[in-house]
Amino acid sequence: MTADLGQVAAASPEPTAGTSGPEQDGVPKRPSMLLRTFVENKLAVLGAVMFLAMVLFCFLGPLVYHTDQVHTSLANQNLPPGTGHPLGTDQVGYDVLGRLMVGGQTSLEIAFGAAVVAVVLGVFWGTVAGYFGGLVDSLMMRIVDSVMSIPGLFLLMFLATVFRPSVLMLVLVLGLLAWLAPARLVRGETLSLRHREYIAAVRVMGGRAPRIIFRHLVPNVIGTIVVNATFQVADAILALAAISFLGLGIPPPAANWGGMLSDGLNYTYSGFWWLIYPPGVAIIVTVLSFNLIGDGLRDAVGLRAHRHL
Amino acid sequence: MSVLEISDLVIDIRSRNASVRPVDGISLSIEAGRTLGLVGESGCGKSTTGLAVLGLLPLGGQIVRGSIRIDGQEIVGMKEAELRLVRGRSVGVVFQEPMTALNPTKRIGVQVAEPLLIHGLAGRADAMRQAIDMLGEVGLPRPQQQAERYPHELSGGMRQRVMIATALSCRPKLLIADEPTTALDVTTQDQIMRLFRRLQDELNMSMMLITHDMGVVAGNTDDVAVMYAGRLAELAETERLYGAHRHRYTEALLSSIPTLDTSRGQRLASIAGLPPNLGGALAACRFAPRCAHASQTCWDVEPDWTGTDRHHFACHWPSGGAGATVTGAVTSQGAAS
Amino acid sequence: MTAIDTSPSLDATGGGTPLVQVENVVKEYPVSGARLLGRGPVVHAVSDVSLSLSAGRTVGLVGESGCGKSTLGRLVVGLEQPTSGVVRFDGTDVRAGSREQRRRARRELQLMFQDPYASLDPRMKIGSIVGEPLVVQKQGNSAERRSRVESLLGEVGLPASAMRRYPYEFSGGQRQRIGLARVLALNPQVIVADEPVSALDVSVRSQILNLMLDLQAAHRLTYLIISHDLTTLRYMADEVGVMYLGKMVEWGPSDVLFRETVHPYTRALIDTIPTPDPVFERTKQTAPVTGELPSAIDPPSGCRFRTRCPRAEQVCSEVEPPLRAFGAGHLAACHFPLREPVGLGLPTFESSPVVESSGEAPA
Repeated sequence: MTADLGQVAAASPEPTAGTSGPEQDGVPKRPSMLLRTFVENKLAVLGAVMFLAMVLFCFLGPLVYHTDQVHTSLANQNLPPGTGHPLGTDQVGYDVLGRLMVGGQTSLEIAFGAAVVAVVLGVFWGTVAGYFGGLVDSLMMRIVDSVMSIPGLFLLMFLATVFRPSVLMLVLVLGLLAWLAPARLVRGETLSLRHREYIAAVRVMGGRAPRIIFRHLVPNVIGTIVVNATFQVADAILALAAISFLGLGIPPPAANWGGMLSDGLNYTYSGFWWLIYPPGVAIIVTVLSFNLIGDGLRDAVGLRAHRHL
Repeated sequence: MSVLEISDLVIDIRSRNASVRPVDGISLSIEAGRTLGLVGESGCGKSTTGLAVLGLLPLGGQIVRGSIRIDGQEIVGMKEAELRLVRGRSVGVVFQEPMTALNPTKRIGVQVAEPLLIHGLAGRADAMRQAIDMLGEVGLPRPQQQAERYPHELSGGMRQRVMIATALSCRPKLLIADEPTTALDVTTQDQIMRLFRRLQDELNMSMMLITHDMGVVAGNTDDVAVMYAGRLAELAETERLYGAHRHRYTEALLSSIPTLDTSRGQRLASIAGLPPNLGGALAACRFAPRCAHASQTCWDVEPDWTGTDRHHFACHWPSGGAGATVTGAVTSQGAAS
Repeated sequence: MTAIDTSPSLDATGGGTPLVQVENVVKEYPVSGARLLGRGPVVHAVSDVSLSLSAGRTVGLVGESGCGKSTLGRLVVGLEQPTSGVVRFDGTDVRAGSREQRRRARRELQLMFQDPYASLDPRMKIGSIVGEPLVVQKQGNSAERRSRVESLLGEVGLPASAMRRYPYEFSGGQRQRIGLARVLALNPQVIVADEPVSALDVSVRSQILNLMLDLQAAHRLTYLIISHDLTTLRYMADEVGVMYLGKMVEWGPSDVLFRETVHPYTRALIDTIPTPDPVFERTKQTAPVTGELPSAIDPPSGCRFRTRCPRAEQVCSEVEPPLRAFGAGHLAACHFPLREPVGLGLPTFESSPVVESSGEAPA
């Protein structure tokens, strides 16, 4: 009883993945399965909802709730929450709620920008170092180590005295300080992936490093990267808050949560709680939401081991 | 009384949205001192069956019905605490990948002695002594020194021997070996299989050899059970199975294996298609879609488990024997649920 | 952009220049990382092996773990650089020469991988995977490539709809078919198949092996099949080479090797193959191979097999046995072979003589 190709062709259109045959590591899940795993994780969904709510609040809020965030009004300073000002006003008369929204825009933009810079740079650095290995890898990683040992805060302070802090500058600086972790992560994954047979297959057909790196290595580390990126955003928000807290952020009338927090803390003993809690809560909520999303993504992308015996 | 008796074992694996039945009504038994080969391809359920004997089920796995008796003792329904008394003591296991089955942070002497300590069969010093003896038994040279080494310092064959020593340290009545030599070189495989035979004789131990390799089964078993898609296709004494098999899957399997006599000129037979998706619709005889001899009956009616005393099979159109007559093919107890 | 090459391979039956020549190839790997000064311990993966492949033939390489057969396979396709020695395709070094020559070597010599689950990029669609060689070699435009991929998939028994799917949707056997389709894309002359069916279920193996035979006939391919399973090679190969710890210990036409085995290691390999014949298995008498595989970093002196050989004597540890002839095209390296050598005694040069696959038409 010999098989002819026609018979086999008829039988084969039914994929039997998942039941017969061993399913190995690295088998990507279908997009719908990814979504489903994510959705099953209640906390991840909560994170996503919180994030969405925050985005709407910051970007659509001001369209609905108009306040003046440019002109100060010392006559209205430090008013407690009440009519006209649901969260009161700050020390120069800006409406706190409105400022929270506008500040959120800046914070989120900078955080995302920094995360993008960090991830792009980190992926590039990590895959090149991991793929080439040897001397190149050692060199690149030593650079990473050296940059890591530069105290970020001092660098920022120095930069702040030289340049006028702007959105772009903050994005770049935060990104350049944050790319090290993804670089390490990506390098690690690349080191294990580069010996996979499908990479060797590309070399056998004559493919060279750029193709291998961009078309084969990067797509296969995307899962880890996306997860890391969400944590990057969370970190960037905190870093921005810290920077602004130290007065190195964008000067007024531009707003951001860290700055608001910093200003508000001057009045800790005055009992003007509406100057402190709102930005603090906003920061916490946003950071938490990203952490939850990141955790959910990590599980969904399947960084867990096999599910069966 | 048989050392192992499995009756109508059915195991389901339940995940959130689906349920799959990798083992669907398996019955077999092993007598003292005998070896049963449980063969089949990947996904047929043989590993699940073998490990179920130890109460080790895959994630989401559940024994739906059936019984497993070890020396008369019913395993199904045992609590974890009771199972722990059985594992290692009455039943030993040897897995396929010795590197992952051994603890890389513990010296091998300690690992071999561990079952003795767990089951309270010996004190610390005595257990180590017995462990070193066992390492010598399984063919490790200079066992005293070997006992001090870590798994990563040993070769694959040696690690497998260590695992065998661990499995046998409590002198169990039954050894379950799940693909024990698949990861080894063929010369090492030969050594390990000889070791199994020798130890079996010395300890009068029964063995269930789970494998996909029909050659290994031929030389190392007394009886063979062929599984396909969760069910038993055929069960017979080894020589009968190879010489006078009845089920068409057995026939197809044996004729698709190249031997040293199969040279370039002769075309090797192959089985068309793939094993079925257990989650989808299945023919009554599960091999029907790939069987060259299948008829409509095979799709609609589940074949009976028939045969003589030591040779059973379930096939409507078996090979050999009296052609196509199978007793009571139509009087089956209803289609597969 | 060049046109897609679908021309039939050059016919080189009846002798003539062998298609692939492996000349005294040595491959060593440093053991740990890079060392700044001198050479640390090395793994002797391949130690002075020579062989040649003639067009249209199938050569098998057998051996157990650490014997160097996989490394040799990679050296043949030019994936790695030999530490010394050279691999030639059609006369030219596969690793040297002009860029065009090297690219040609990449086209004509292809490698098929063992692990169906690791040899396909899980993030790429089948159509892209099979078509990638064409893109890399800049052959054909997008439409031409698509139709070529379709026809390749058809040749290996997969429907055109497979192009849009991902590897995880396919079984091991189907993935090996995809691997075959990819390997054929550039219309190579030589395919090195590294354990092509070892990772597959028994009933699927014969499907793939038969497919490989069909493709060989259709495209006049030359195969180098690497396997630890002698029965696969018995079925597929015209000539078989047996390797042990980096050395070629025996070589000969397939049936001669099996019927008139000369080297004790080959004998051991053949004897320890479990056959599906219970009576034979129980009664067979074999001289077992004892002990463990020695380290490839520090292989035994003289004959590397001596530590496990039932026939080893003093001379085996002192003098490395050279390859000698035991018949037409049948060579072995052993001081105490199982048969008498034929011919005029030891060859005069130091290195092992080239083992050649004869250029006769396949039986």
